[in-house]
Amino acid sequence: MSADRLLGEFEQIVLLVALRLGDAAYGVTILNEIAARTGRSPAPGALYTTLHRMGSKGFVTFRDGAPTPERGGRAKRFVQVTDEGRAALARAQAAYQNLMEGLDLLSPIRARAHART
Amino acid sequence: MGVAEWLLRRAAGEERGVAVYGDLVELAAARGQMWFWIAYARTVISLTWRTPAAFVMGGSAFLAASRSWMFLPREWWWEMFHSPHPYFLRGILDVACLLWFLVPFAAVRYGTSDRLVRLAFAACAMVSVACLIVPVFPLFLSVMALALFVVVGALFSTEWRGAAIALGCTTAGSVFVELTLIKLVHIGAWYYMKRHFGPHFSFWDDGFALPIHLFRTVVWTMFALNALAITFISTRFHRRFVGKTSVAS
Repeated sequence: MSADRLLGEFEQIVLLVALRLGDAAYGVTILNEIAARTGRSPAPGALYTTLHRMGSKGFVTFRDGAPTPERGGRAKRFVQVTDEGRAALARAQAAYQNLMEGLDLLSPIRARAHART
Repeated sequence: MGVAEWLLRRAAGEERGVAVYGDLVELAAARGQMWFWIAYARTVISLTWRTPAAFVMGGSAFLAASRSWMFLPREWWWEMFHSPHPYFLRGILDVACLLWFLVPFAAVRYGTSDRLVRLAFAACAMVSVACLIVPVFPLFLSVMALALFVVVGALFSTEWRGAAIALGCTTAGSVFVELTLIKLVHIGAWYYMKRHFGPHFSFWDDGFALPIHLFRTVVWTMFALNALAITFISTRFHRRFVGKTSVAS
């Protein structure tokens, strides 16, 4: 991905979730965290193709963990966000923040969330 | 290891396939077996759809290109088959058809920002223009020289060298398959026609009287061999020389 191309929406979500999960980020935990935080349940295939694409671009690396019985003795593949991934994420978020400036789109959402609590 | 896991390992690679299958098994504990098989099918499709779709796109463009020559004027065909350089011109035509397969195939497989796709597109455009102006032989040679200059020039760029090597190797490998395997099919069909029509068989006089099913069998066999060769060779060389800068599933 060239420097002037921003990350897509789902790519940003996956990177953000991987950063939040830290060393515990792998397919299952990423899918569960996305569902919990965003209310959407992406297809596993979509996640794996996105992770593979970002791996090809150097935004994430992979590390194999130990096999576990609940997975039929199969190892987990942990995801770690690289410095390039962080930088790409920061660029994308900065662009969105720049576009959002002065629009006050988040206040009604925050007010509704505050009223619910 | 069951068939399902084996298939996923083939689709995604050994380590990745094992991990993906393990994730689906772990998630299925909470979501059920029905969910597992649906998610498995969707995952396999998402990991493998690009190559078949790319093959269809490449094949369609290849067929369109190879048939489009039939709409050219008679003078063009006369020049092609009565030129003092018939094998050279036919070779260029074969390279043009190869590129017409490769460009859409690679565009779907690797994405339009891939360097092999862009270099192959540039070469395809120039070679196609050159083929259209065969009757104006000096201009044809100039455009061909320009195409060669662009591809060879890419070798001197660190960014484009991998794509140029992959394109060159794909072209050379496909031409080699054309001259060997496909030639065997061609010779076999020619031998059959000689036996069927007699030793004085002439393609231009008798060829169009061939049983249509035989003609189509030969043509489709040659096309399939060509397409499979380009697919196999280009994916191997792309993985080796272009690698990370491509869309992958």
